[in-house]
Amino acid sequence: MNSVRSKILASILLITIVVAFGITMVIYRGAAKMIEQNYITVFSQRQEQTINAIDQMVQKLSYISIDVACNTEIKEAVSEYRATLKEKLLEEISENLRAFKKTDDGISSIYLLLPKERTVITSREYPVYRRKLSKKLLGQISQEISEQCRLILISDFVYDNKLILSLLERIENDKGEIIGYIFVNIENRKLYYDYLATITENNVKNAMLLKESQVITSLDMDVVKEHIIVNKYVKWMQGQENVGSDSENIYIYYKGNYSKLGLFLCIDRRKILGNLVYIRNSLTGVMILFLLISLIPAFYLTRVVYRPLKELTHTIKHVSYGELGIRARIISKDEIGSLSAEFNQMLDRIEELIQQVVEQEMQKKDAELEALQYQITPHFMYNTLNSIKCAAMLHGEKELAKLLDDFVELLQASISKRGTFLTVAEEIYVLKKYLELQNFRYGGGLTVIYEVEDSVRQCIIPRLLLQPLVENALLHGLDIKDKNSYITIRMYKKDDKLYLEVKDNGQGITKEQIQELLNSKTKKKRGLTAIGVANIKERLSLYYGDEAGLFYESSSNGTKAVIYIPIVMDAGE
Amino acid sequence: MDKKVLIKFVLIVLCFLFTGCTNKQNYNYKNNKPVIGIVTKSTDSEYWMSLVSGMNMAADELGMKTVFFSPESESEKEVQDRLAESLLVNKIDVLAVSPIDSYSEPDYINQAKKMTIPVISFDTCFEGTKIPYIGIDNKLVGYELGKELAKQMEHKGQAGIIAGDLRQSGHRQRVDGFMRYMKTEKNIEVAFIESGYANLQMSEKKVRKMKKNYPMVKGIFATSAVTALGIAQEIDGTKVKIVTVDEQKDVLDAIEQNKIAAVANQSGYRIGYETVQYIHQMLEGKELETKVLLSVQIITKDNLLNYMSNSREEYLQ
Repeated sequence: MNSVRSKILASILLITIVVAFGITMVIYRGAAKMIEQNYITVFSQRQEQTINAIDQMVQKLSYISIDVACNTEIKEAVSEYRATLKEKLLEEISENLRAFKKTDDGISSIYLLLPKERTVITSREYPVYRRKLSKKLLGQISQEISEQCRLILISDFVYDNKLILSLLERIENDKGEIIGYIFVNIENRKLYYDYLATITENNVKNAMLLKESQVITSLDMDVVKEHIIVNKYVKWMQGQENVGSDSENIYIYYKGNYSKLGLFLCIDRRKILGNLVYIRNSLTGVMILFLLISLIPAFYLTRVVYRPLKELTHTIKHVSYGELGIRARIISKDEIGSLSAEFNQMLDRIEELIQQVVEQEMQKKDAELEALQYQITPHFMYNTLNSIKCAAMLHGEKELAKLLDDFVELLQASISKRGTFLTVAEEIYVLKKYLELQNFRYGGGLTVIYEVEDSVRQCIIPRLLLQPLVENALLHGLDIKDKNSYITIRMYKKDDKLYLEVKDNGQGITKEQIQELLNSKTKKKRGLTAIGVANIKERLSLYYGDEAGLFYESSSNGTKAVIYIPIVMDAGE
Repeated sequence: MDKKVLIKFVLIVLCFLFTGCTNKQNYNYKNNKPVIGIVTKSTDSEYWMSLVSGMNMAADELGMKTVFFSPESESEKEVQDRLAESLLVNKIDVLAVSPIDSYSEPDYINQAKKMTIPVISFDTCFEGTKIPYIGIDNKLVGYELGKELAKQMEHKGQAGIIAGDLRQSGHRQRVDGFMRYMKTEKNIEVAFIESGYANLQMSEKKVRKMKKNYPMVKGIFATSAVTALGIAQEIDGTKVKIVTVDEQKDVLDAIEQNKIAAVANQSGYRIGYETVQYIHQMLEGKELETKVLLSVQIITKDNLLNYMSNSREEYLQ
C-alpha cells in the first residue's frame, strides 16, 4: 500500500468500480421504474376490463332476475299454487325457471322461494322443488333478504350449503304484495375460473373478488374459507379505482360500476422485476469479471510507469550509502527519464568536485613538504653567503661584498614566505638587485631606466611579476656586449588599469618567437631563471581572470612586453 | 494517500451504492368517477343506439361512468321500474330515466329521494313533477309536423294519427300539438287516432284494415319513426303522405325515396350528450333550469341535402 504503483492501481480500481456501479444503478433504477409503470398500466387496464366484464355479467343476470320476477306466466302459476297447492304447478314453474336459466351461461341455478308456503322451486333437475322448509332456515334467509341489497352472498340452502353469489328479486301480485322471491345464482367456482384464473399469472400473489368486506372468491384459499379481508390490504381498497404500491407489492383495486363488486390484486414487485434483477446481477458479474481481466493489463501498465521510478529510487538509495560511482539507468523518455539524467549529471559533477578537492589537498601537502625542505636550505645559504661577504669585506673586496649582499637580498625576495603580493616599490627594489647582479655578470654594459609614476608605487602586484620579462629581454632581446643596451621599465596608470612595461632596444624578435614565449609550458626549475612567460600568464589569469593580460610588441628597434592588471592599492595605506 | 482517507472514501462509495439498492418509489393513485345509472325505454332502434353513444361520449369527456339498463320493449313498465330500483339499490350516483309511463310517479322516485340520489328524465318527462327534463318540445314538434303535413296535403282531405303508447307524455304531446294545428285547418279532418305502436311495427293486417276503413286518408302522422317506416313499406305506391319524429338513417333514406314526407329531427345522440352534460353541471352544484328543450328541425326532401351536408360538417368538427 506504500508504493506509488499500488496507489495508482487502487485509484484505477476505485474509479472504475464507482463509475461502473453508478451507471449500472442509474440505468437499473430508470428501467425498473419504467417497467413497473408499464406493467401497472397494462395490468390495471386488464383488470378494469375484467371487472367490467363481471359487472356486465351481473347486470345481465340482474336483468334476467327482474325479467323472471315480472314474468306473467310464473306469476299466474304462483298465484294458482298459493290457492291450490298443487304439486304439478311446481313442476311447471320449475320448467319455466329452467328456460330462463338457459338464457345465460353464467347462471348456475334459479330458485323461487315462497316463504309463506315454506316452498322453494328450483331450475335444477334435482331437487325440482322442496316443501316444508324449516322455520329456522326461512328465518336465516329472510334475514339476508331484509337487507336493502339485490346482490347477496348466501349459502345454497337447497343444494349443498356452499356460498353462492345470488341476485335477489321480489315477486309481487297485482295488489303489490310480495308473494315470493327469485334467486338467480352464480357459483363462486364459476367466477373463479371465468375471471380470476384468467387474470392470474405468476406475478400475482393474491387476487380477490370482493363484495364490500366479504371475500367471494380468492386465489388464497384460506381467505375464502374465512371470507374476511386481510387487514393489511384494506387501505388499498378505497374508492372505485385504486392503484398503489409499497416496497414489496403493487396493489390494484377496481370496483364495478353497477355491481360494486371489487377486484383486488396484489402483485409481487420482485417478480415483475425478476428479469431485470437477473440482468442487473449478471451485469454486476460481468463487470467484476472484466474488472479482474483488466487488472492484468493495469498491473503491467503500472509496472511500465513505475519501473524508471523504482530504478531511480534504487540508485538514490545506493548513493545515500556512499556509492557515488553508481548511475541511474535511463529507461523512459518521460519526466522520470529526464530526472534520472539530471540526477546522473549531478552525480558526475559531485564526483568531479570531490576529485578537485582531493587534488588540491594533495598539492597542498606537496607544497608544505617542499616549503619545509626550502626552509632548511635558505638559512644555511644566507649564513654561508653572509660569512663569504664578511670575508670579502675583511679582504677589502667591497665590490664583491656588495654583490653578495644583492644576491642574498634577491634570494630572500624570491624565497620569502612573506606573501604572494608586493607593492610596486618593493618589486622595483628586488628588480634593481637582480639587474645589478646581471650587470655585473655581463660586464656592466647595461643601462636600466625606471619610469615609475609616484601614484602607482603603492599598488599591489604579484611577486616577481616583471623578473621573467627582464630575464627574457636579457636572454633574447639584447646583445649584452653592446655597451648601448637599454632596458626601460615603465609603470603607469591608464584607463583604471595598472600597466607594467619592459622595453629593450635589441634587434627584436619574430612573431613565432612571441607565440612560443606565450605558449611555452611552465617548467618548474630551481632558481630564478626560466620561470617563463607562461608562468606569468598563468598567474595573471589565476589572480585576475579576464581582467588582466600580457602582450608583446616587437620591431627592429627592440621588444616591448606589457602587462596590465586591475589597480589594487596596498591595504596598509 | 492516507489509509484513513482511503477507508472513508470506500465507505462513502459503498453507502452510495447501497442507498441505490434500497430506495424504492411508491405509487398511489385513486380515482372515483361518478356513476350514472341510465334506464332507457328500449334499445333496438337507431334512435336509442345513438342516444347511448351520445351519453357514453359525454361521460368519457367529462370523467364519468355509465350503467345502462333497458327493458325489451317500450311496454314493460314493471320491468323498467325494477331496473331503476336495482340501480338505486346498487348505489349509483345519479339516475337518468326515460319513463315508459309519464303519468304515474313510480315508487323508485321516493326511494331515490330517501337515498338522496338525484333523478332526471330525458327523451320523455314525468308529467306534473319537478324532475328535470332534457329533450325536445314534443307539442311543438307535433304542431310543426301538422303544419308540414297540411301543406303537403294541400290543406284538404282526411288525415290519421298512429301514436305510440299514450301513457308516454312524448307521444301524447306530439298528438296534442298535431291536433292543435289541425283545428286551424278547416278542410282537413282527422279521421282516426290509433295508439299503442311504439317500437312494435304495425302488423300487415292492421295496416290493410286501416286502408280499408279509411280509404280517403291522404296523410298520416306517426309519432315514432319505427312505426312510420312500417306503414310506409305497406302503403308504398299510394299518394299517402307520412310525417314522423326521430332522425335516423333509414328515415332519411325513405324521405329521399319519397316514402316519407317529413321528419322532425329528434337526434338521439344530441339528447344523450346534453343529458350527461346536464348531470355533470348538476353534480358540480350549478343552478339549472328544470327543462332543457332542444331545438328541432323539420326535414323534407327540399332541405334534405342541405341538412345532410351540415350534419356531416358537424360530425367532422
